[in-house]
Amino acid sequence: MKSIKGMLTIKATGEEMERFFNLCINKNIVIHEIKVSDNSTCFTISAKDYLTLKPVLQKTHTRTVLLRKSGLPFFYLKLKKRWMFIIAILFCTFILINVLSRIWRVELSGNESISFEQFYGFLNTNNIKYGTYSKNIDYKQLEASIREYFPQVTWASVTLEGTGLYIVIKEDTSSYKTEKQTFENSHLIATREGEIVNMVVRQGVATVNIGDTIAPGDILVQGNIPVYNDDLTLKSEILVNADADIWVRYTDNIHLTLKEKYIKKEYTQESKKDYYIQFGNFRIWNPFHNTLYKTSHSTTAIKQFKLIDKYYLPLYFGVKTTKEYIEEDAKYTLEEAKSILNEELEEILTTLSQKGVQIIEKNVNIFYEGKMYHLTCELILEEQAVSSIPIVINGE
Amino acid sequence: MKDILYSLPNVKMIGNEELCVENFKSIIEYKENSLLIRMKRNNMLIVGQKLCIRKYSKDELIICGLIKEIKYI
Repeated sequence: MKSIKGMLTIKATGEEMERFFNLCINKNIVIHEIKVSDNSTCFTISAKDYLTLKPVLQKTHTRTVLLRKSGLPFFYLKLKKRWMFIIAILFCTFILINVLSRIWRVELSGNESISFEQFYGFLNTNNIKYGTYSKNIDYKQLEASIREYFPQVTWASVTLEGTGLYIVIKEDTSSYKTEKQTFENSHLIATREGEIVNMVVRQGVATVNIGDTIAPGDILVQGNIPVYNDDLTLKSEILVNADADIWVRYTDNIHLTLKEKYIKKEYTQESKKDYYIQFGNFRIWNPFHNTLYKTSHSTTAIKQFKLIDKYYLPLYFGVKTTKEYIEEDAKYTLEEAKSILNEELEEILTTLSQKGVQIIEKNVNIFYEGKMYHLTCELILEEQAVSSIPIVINGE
Repeated sequence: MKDILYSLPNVKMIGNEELCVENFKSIIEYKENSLLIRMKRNNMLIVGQKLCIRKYSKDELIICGLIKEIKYI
């Protein structure tokens, strides 16, 4: 209440201070913080009451000196003189509110097959970019769009915390199998050459048996089921959507090569760090940086500034570390080559497994020939190599 | 009730640091170590150290500081 009214701290000197205070309270003036010292008395009264003090001061021969003005009315007067400062504060507040109501960080977690680039591309097509107003994002709609755009995503959660958009997804890795096209009535055909090792027909008429060798395009399960009369003449055909699990075993060969000679990067002890500040897409480098290495390798560590927890700003601090290296001609030893080629092969086999292909047998051979290391791998694989094709009825 | 009917001073003290007085008439003498207050019937002398008046209005007088003695004289 005191700060709203505006208070004055006054230093008073006079012979009749007690009388002065008593006259003040008779005029209904409230006095605060009266302190006496050797020659003077300090007290605080409201600015409004100070204006009515003149007769009392004259009557008691008291002299006053104004020490301090405090409270809202005086603060307002002070601000009035510094209007540019007020405008600057209001402008900064406006900018801050504007910045904090936008998305400045997107975090994706739970992705296995979907790359970050793919996902950010998807977000761009949905008009979600760095700097998008967070209130413009329909989270439920975005979750549904993720599931629709990426069929392998079984669950998606989108949350906004501060200026960050946090997306958590769950992928069904078992659904890597090529999607079977669905038609109203269809046959099942083979998509690769091999031998049938197992089959379970749920709908349709099987035209092959376990142990048969098939070629791509062969009809494996027919979608037209014939209905015969008693005299074994064809009465009609029932058209269905042929459905079966057919496992095809086939052989495949992988051939990988690695040149014996390669350019080895021999790192020297020379390295330099360059610093920059990035605002949005605008980057300001340290003006004194000059990394003039003939051959070098750079890594950049970026740190995003945040106002408080989760309230990230479009302001980044980056440290680019450049390490010098010298290129030298080198040769792989057989052991090194084996390790590199085996790693490459493992990657290929993992991809195959993720696609639902079972590896039954593999024979790996690594040898040196013609200044190159060769890896040959004979594989026996099993997979459901079938697809649906619509039934074409004569005359249609 | 009695204080209002007979105009007796109403004194409330918090520890020895704060004293609130009601039903007084005026301040007779105020020094750093003593304060003499005129009541309706008699006077009250407060002795202490670094005495200051936090609030002085028609209804109440709040004194703070290190209060040592309160006397009716």
